[in-house]
Amino acid sequence: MSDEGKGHWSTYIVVLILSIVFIYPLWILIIYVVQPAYLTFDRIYPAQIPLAFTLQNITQSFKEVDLVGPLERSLEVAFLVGGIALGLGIPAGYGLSKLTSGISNKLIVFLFIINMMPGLVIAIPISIYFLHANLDNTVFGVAFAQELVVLPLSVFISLSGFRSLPRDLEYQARVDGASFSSTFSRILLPMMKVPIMVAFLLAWMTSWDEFTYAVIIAPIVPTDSTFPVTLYNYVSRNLPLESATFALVATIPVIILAIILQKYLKGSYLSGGLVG
Amino acid sequence: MNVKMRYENVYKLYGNKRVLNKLDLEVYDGEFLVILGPSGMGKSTLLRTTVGIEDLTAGKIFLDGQDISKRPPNKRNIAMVFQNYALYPNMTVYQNIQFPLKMAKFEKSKIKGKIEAIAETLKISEVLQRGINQLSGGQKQRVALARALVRDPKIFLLDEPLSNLDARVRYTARAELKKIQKELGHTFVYVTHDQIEAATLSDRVAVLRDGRIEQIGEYDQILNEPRSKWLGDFVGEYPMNFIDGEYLNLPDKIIGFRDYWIKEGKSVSGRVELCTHEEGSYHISCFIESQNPEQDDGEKRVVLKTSKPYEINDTVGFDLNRYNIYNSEGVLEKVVK
Repeated sequence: MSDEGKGHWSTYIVVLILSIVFIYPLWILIIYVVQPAYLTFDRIYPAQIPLAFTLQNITQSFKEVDLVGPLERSLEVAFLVGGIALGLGIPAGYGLSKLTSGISNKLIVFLFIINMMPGLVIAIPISIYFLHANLDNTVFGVAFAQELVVLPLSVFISLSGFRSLPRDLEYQARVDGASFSSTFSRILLPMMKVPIMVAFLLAWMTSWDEFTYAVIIAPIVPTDSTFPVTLYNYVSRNLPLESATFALVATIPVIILAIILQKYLKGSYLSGGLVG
Repeated sequence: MNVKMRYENVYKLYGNKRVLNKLDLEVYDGEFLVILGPSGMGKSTLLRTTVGIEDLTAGKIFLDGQDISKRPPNKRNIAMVFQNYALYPNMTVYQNIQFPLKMAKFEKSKIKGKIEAIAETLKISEVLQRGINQLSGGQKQRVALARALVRDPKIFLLDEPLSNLDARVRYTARAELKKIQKELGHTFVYVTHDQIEAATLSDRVAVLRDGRIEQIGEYDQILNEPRSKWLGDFVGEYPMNFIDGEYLNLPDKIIGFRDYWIKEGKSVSGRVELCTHEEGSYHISCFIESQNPEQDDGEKRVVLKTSKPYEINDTVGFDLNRYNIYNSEGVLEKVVK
């Protein structure tokens, strides 16, 4: 076999191993949810392949608990977090890209200081401020708190995106008669599709999964809290079947969003505009 | 001739470095002015300050008599083609050309016709609906030019637009560029370090050195009568030869002559170091003995164009058909024909 052929096969093997590592937990979740409990939780060594199929676990779980409320709330918070992350992250990234890299890198590190601290250390004091501002137990309150984690990353991704854009394209647009706002909206933003989508997806997924700020800012009441907090309640009450069902339900929006956005996640989007 | 654009005492400083240094220049209406100079002499900076993407440190730029120095780029009505073409990768060819018209709020009903007309002129009609990354280098250059030409700006600035093309395409593109400029009668300011481009495209050439115009005029004039030794060295396919004035009984002077300003004779003699054949003629590089050995290592290398080949270490003698006399500062004093 030629060296090229060996490289080809070794790539497939690596991809296969990585896929198994990443997909296996999801697979376990699926076979627990779609099989009767006597094949899974009631066994010491549950089967790794489905031997029976049932939707009863899902219907039963949804009957027992109001999941729609926490799901809606989590979706509201996640989209709000994603929106705010872009609304603030894109202008901030653009502004930082105009500074020398020495200054902008220092500022970015400064933004990440919050992420270097344990979430609780930050969450408890800000929850007091949020109480005063009547932001506790609100979608906005949870979203604002989660921005502390998400925003530095969004700014960083946005900054990297703007830095990678050739400055001459912006100049060319100005020379072609575009105002600053036209240049930004018609030239820069379309070329920033990939970083914007990545920043949004990361912000969305971080919020969707976020627990610490949600549990402190929003109360631990199943009908009012976000989905991860609700899920935590069931896990802590030793309801494994419901927990597995809810965990599977929680992955579905992430998968849908990733599928919708994947067409934008192309590295070659900017190719061809510049020569030399 | 009418002055289209005028630079008056223009300075551009980066920190302490004077990239444009008290530059004065007039660009005539309808001319093809080539700004020629080696890298790092301020050529691109001159265009970027003209178009407004960089601010002047001091001085003024007048376009059609109006001071445009402080105007933002979108209010100057100047088109520019960047060296890398800067085509918008998120748009088709058509949309790229359309962009400046849209920004100028050009009448919608006329946009299509205008784009088709310019595409016809530049022979890119068949690629109008293509994406930018589906174009060859030559096509990209034409699209960039079309985008600049389509909106009838007052003046066109071109920053080495042919430098990314391969030699054969560049040759054709050069001819077409000159033809388009003459047909449309627009004023072009074209920056390059390429001597051939300067010679073939220009009505006038302005040679830029250390941020100011060293000499401006027709290419042949600068080639034959460079005002300074530096210019003689820079302009031309081969650098101008410089020898001590002693050879022609001109003490304290420097004699400058081109490789082809010689005939066989005995005024000066040298030893052949290298002989190369070039399309019906020969170029020899030879050492001549210096009249001031203490000043310049005892030997001088000159390049001469001859009609016959020489062997290495042959002795060659020559007289000068014409020459320029420079003072010891390297400034042109007299042209002797």
